[in-house]
Amino acid sequence: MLDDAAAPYISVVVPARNDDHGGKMLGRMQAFLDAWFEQAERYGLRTEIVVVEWNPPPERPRLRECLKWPAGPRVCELRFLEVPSEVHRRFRNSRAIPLHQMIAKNAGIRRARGEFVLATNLDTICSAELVRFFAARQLERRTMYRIDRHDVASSFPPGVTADETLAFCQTHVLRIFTRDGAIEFAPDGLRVVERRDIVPPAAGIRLGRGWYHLESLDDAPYRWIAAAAEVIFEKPASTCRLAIDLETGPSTGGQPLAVEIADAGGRVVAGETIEGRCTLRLYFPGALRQGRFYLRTPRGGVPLTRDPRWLNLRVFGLRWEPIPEDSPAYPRHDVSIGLDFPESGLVELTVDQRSGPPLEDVSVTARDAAGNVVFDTATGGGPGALEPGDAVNVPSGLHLTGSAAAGKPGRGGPRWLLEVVQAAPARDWNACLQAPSPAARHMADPAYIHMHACGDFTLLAREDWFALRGYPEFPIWPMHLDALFCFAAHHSGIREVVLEEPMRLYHIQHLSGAGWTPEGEEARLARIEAKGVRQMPWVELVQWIDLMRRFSGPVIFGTEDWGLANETLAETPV
Amino acid sequence: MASGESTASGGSRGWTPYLSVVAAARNDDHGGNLLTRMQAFAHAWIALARRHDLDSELILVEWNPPEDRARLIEAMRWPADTGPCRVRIIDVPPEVHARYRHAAELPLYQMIAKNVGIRRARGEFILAANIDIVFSDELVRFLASRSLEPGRMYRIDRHDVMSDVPVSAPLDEQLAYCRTHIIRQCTREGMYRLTAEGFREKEAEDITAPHSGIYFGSGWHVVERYGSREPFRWIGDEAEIEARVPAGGAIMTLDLEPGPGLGPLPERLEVLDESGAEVAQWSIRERTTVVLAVPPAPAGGVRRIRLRVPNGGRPVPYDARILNFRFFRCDWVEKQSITPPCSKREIVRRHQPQLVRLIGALRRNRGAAGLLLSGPGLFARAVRLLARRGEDIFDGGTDVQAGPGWYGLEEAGGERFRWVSKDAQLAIRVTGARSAMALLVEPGPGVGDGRFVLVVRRLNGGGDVIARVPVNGLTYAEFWVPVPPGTITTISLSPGEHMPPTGADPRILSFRVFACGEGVGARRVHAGAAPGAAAGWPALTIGSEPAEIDWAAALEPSRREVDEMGKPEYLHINGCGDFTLMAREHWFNVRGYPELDIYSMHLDSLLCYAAHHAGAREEMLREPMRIYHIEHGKGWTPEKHAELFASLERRGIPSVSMEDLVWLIARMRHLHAPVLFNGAEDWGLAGYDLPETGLAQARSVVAPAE
Repeated sequence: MLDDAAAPYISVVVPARNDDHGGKMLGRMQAFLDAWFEQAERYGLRTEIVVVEWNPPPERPRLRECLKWPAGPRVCELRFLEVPSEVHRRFRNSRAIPLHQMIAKNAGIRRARGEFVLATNLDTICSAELVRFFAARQLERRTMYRIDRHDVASSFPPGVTADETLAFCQTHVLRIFTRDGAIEFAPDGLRVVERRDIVPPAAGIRLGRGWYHLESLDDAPYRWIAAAAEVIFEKPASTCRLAIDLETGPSTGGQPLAVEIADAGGRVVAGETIEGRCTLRLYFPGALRQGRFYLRTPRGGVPLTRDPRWLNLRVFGLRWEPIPEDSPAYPRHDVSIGLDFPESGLVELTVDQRSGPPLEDVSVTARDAAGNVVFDTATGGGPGALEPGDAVNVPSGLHLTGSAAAGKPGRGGPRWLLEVVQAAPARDWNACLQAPSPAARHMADPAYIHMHACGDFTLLAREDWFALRGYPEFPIWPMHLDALFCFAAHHSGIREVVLEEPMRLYHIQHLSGAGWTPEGEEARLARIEAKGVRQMPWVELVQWIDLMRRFSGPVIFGTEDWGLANETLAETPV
Repeated sequence: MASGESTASGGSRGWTPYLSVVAAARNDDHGGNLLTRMQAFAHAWIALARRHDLDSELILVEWNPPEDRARLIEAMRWPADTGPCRVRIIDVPPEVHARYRHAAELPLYQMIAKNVGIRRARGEFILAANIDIVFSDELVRFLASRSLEPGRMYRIDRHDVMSDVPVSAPLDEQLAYCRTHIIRQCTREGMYRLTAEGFREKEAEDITAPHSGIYFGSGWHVVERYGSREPFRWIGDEAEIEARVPAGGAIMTLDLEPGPGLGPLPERLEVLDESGAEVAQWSIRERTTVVLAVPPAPAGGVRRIRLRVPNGGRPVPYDARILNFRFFRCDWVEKQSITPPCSKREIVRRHQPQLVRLIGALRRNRGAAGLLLSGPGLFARAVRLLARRGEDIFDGGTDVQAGPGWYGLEEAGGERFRWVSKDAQLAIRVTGARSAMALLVEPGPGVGDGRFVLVVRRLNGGGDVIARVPVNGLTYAEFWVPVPPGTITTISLSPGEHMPPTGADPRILSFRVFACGEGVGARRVHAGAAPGAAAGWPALTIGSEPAEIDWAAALEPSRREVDEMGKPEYLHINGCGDFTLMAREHWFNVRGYPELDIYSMHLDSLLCYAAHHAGAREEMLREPMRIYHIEHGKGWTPEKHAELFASLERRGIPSVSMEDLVWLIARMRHLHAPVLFNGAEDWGLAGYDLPETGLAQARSVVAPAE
């Protein structure tokens, strides 16, 4: 029995072998160790790092001979477990796959002593906030902790302090793996607009979180959204509205879908119920030149048979449109000021509203005696839309008329408006690839788990890892096996918690082909194909997810001897 | 160093019986007549355990007992002394049942209930059964012999018996009732009604004639019609034909084609006799008709012929079965009907042109003296041969099957014949005492000058030449067949040489045969080996045509997946809920049955496949070991099945569909791993302290049963 005080709170399990997998491997692993040792010490987090050295290459030194760690007593222990080549060779595909990552992790998890066990990889770094959270010992059992992964550039400065490392990470994020997929960042710090994206380039419309990857149908690009998608905007002109071309998806279950617009603070400012393909016209409050809003679908979420995501809305495009004069959604009140100033020069005009519904987007037009518009505050170099209280200088000697959009009577503050233009009736999704699951209504607890980059951060209580018998131990390319585990955890009643910012997991970018990066995907597939090694096809993963949802239970592939329980692994504590 | 999962739960661990028998029930008269059936089950088990001194426990899990009915322990009669069998009744109270999502709709979660018993069982081995199973004496004797092994999953065929089992009668009377009141058998391949002799009944439209006396035993799948013009049956690696062979032996004809279970074609199909000796084989590439000469059974009666496919066994992703060959026909060769007898004069009149040519040829070959000497005898034999002819050119009433090399039957100028180019094969059973064969043969344009030497080979004797008969003009040829009378033999007829085709007919017409049958002969051949001896049975490939399905092409998209599955087992999962027996550690390794909150259909099958892929290999317990299942009203029928699933759908209760099951089996085969559904170590309600009643305690508080 371990002494409670001495027992680690968290075991960190990483598989490795000294084969320079991914390039600069030892450097990345050293950074990983340094960050753990320094931060664990700083926040008093009792930890053990379990390095499972799988099938060590005979011609190279062991990892412990290539890495360094602080001498003397520490709160963070380091253990090296060795899985010898003889054991490795017993598995199928042992020639093509030198490290069976999932089995290696299981071997470490099986031997971990921590109350909680984090399965990760050797090139991850936890943010200070994350380590502080661990040290607060607030972790709960029957919970699976997940986190977005922040990829940072590999131009990593060697031999620096943990603080410097963290500072570098914070400022060199290339992409984030969120529940919805990978988000790539442009130099301006916002998500990149991809080629043939659903927003025009440099139009002042940027996508934030909540958008699934770009797909296309008959050459028309689109993105799916689930419950909420963020849009960051900057209006080009005052009299613009945002047209959002979209259609309701299969996760509506064939029902009309409520769509809401929430402002940056999360307050619902407009809403409509839609069905089928339509264009939403979003009118912003006059004063709002830039900001962000969320397109939300509070209902929907019907699971599909062949896609694990919730596909509530399919968005084909977002673009600015001028607001026509006669827009019924945006009635304008024309007021003839009717003053003629015979003198030449400028006249200052102040918009001063005394009564009636609040006016916004006030424009002032000056006409000459013939009735031609010679000046308009809304266009042509004018100051833009005015609001009550604004003042504007207009040339004298002309006839002035005023125009203003009126809000709904009695409703004050900035005003949003949503208008729906129906384009086509709802399609029958049952006949499509994205058909809703016929068993959807029987599913007790379907979920779309944050499975992206889950191999780099999955944290559960030790006993929960044991209950699930660890990862599936298939000696194939390990793609999707970690995701399969996460879904099994959920369907065995373990709650998923995604740790939020500023808690972060950084991951040091390595050579493509080694792990998953969007740009490296094709090369990686080609490499494993050339080796004649199988990976679980995506379609199969989705079938397993569908099965777990329908049966409201997990699927487990491990037997009692999971994690090489019957092997005695040589262990070197340091 | 790593700790294993805790396997101890509930109950005292002091006493360890050899075997625990676990069944689940509630007193709700499910299926009708429940208490009677259960009484028969408990009574027979306890009595047999006592008879064979089998140290066992009988665990009944009483799930969600109905409030308004007596508990099982009260409702059943128990013997005063249960001998070496302990009876334990474990309660799962309604409050626990109510935790499940479909508690209101499903009163008994059978799989979880069995797990409750399995988790608390103390036996070295655990048998999960049902409450209406009666074991045969031989089965319990075997269990009591303590020769069960770990690493095995024991399964058995189930015999369904009529429901009026005499519950209060002595054990042997009960067992005798079961033996003699069998309705059907539940086998690996499906459910079959049995004939009075114990054969699997054929289907109304089967691949054999209704009264052929041929029955399809183990290894034959049910008759299917899907996607084919005619009914067929699949076989896997082995299949048994049980046949009542007509007196003296008969020729069996088989019509078959390769299936997806085979590798590169052609593939071998072997025939084994009762002793396991290979007696014939064919090489099959496409849809093929073959014949097999089946000698009579050594002791008369029934022959058990095994078909074996030595190199098959590849799986398909969408069917759990192994489908090596499918058979469209398996029957006896139809004998030619004999034309009505008529006078010799009439025969001569009918066949005058041939007979005239025969005499003419004889005179040319042997001269007038020769004609005078042997003419009358040969003439008489030719007339006799023509008189015996059936609708074809072959002897009526004789087993004969034309093989490859024969052109179809032709009629021209009132003559009936078949042309041969070369190597005309036939299988024939020579029944006459003299073992002679006779032909009426005439050279054709293919042999040029109208003369050739007819070479006769015996195919099933290694192809040795048994006769060379000079043919010059229409000739009566008779030769000895060196086999004992009654034996079936395959022979080939060839012209010594032949010429290329001439004239309008593109065929090579070497010779034509007007009649073929038994000869008269003059001397006896030496007595050979007994019929059907190890020398092998004559077998022939009669003809072939392209198969309906090109499986190699059809399976190309999943070729790699199939290759990675290797040669998996097709487990016997029919009725597996009634009998699955493994060492305790295997049950714990797979965490018992899947405890899914769904309808229980197929969950027992999933357990079998999971256990198999977790290292408990299936082993069948063979006759005379048996389990009898007492028939009840809730038996499976296709109509009830459809109705049940409609009702589950309506009530929102999920279940494992056949499609799911097949998919999961394919995944286990492909991943070489079990698929388990219990995501926690508390399976079998291990965390609950469930009330348990032993029999001794119960009897003291319970009023006498009704």
